[in-house]
Amino acid sequence: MMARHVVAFVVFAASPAIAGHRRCHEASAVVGYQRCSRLGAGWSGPTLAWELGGAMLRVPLDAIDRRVDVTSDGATSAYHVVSPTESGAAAAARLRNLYGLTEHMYLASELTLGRLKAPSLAIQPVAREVMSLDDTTTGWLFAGMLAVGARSSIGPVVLGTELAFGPRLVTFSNDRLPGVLFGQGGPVLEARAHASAWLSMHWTTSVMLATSLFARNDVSITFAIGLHAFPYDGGR
Amino acid sequence: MNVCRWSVLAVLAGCSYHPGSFRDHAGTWAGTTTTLGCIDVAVANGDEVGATGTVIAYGLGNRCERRVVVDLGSVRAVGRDFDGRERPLVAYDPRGELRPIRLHALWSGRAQVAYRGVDANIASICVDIGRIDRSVATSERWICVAKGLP
Repeated sequence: MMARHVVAFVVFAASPAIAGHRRCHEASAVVGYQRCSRLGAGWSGPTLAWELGGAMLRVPLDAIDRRVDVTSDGATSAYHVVSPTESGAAAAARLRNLYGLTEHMYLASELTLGRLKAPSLAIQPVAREVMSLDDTTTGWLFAGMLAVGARSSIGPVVLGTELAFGPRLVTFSNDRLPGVLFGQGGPVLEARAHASAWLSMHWTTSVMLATSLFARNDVSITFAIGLHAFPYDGGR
Repeated sequence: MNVCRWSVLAVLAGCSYHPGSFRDHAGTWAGTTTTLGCIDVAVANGDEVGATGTVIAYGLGNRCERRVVVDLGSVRAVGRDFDGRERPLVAYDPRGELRPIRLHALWSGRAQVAYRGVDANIASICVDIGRIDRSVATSERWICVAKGLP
C-alpha cells in the first residue's frame, strides 16, 4: 500500500502538465456555433514529454566536526566525527517531465533519487585517545528541481540550455556508527546544456551536462530516454 | 471522451496522423480527398441542423515532420443553385476564427464551416482550397460537393 502511494506521488509530482478536462456540453461542431471550443483547438499548442535516465553527480559536502553518541549492546560510547569539505559521488535515477510551452521554450519538473558514496569520515573515540578509524560512508541523495529552458532543432538533433532550481538533500551514515545519520541540504541553482536525438517520432535519447552556479565542483551528467506525447514535439 | 485531447494518453492512443490515411482517431474522413503541400485534405458536406447556410466539413492532416500553417480563411466558396447559376458564398465567422492556424507535425484536425450567401436554394457548393497550405505556391484547387451528400 505504501509503495502505491509513493508511485502515485512520484507520477503526480513529475506530471504537472496532465491535461485537465472541463465539463461543457458542445452545441455544435460548426465554426461560429461552438460554445465550448474554438477552431484549431488541439491542432497545436503545448507539448508533453517524459525522460527517464541515469545521472552521475558530484556533490560538494560540508565539513563535519561533530560529537556523536553510539549505543551498542547497552553501552554508550562517544565519538568525535571529523571530515573536511569534500565531494561525494552519486549514481542516481532521474525522471523529468517536460512541458513545451512554444516551439522553443519549455518548463521541466524533475525528481532525482540516487545512492551516494561520501568521503571517509575520521572517527575518534573520545574516551580513549587512539588512532582515527577511516571507513567508507554511503547514503542517499534526493532532489526535486524546476527548470526553464530553450531548445532548437538542427535536423534530427535538438540542442538546448536550461536553468534549474530546487532543493537537494543528502543523507549518509557509517557502519561504525549505527543509528547516526548525517544530513546536508539546501537549494541548488544549475546551468545545463543538453542534446537529444530523435530515434523515432515519439522517442529520443539525450545527454545533459549540468553545473551549479553556487559551486564549481557540483556537476552532473545525465543519459536519458525520452517519450514524447506528440510526434517530434509538434515539429522539427 | 476524446483521448487525443489528453496529452498523457495521446501517444498511447495512437493519435498521430499517418500521411495519406485521411483518417484520425475518430475514423475515416468522408468526402473528396486531396493533398496540398504538407496537408492532406478531405472535403465533405457537413450540413447540421441549427446551422444556417451550407456547411462544409474539412479533415486536415499534416503529413510533414514540421509544423504547417493551415488557412481556412483563404478558402473561396461558390454555390450553384438548381438552375445552374453560381452564387458567391461567404464563410460564417462571427468570432474571427478563420485565420491561419498552426498544425503540429503528423497531427490532424477537423473543422466545419458554414457558408452563406443569397437565400436561393443551393444544390451544390464548390470550394477552392488551393491556398490553405501557406507554405506552397498558390494555385486553384476546386472541390465540389452536392448538398445532402457526403
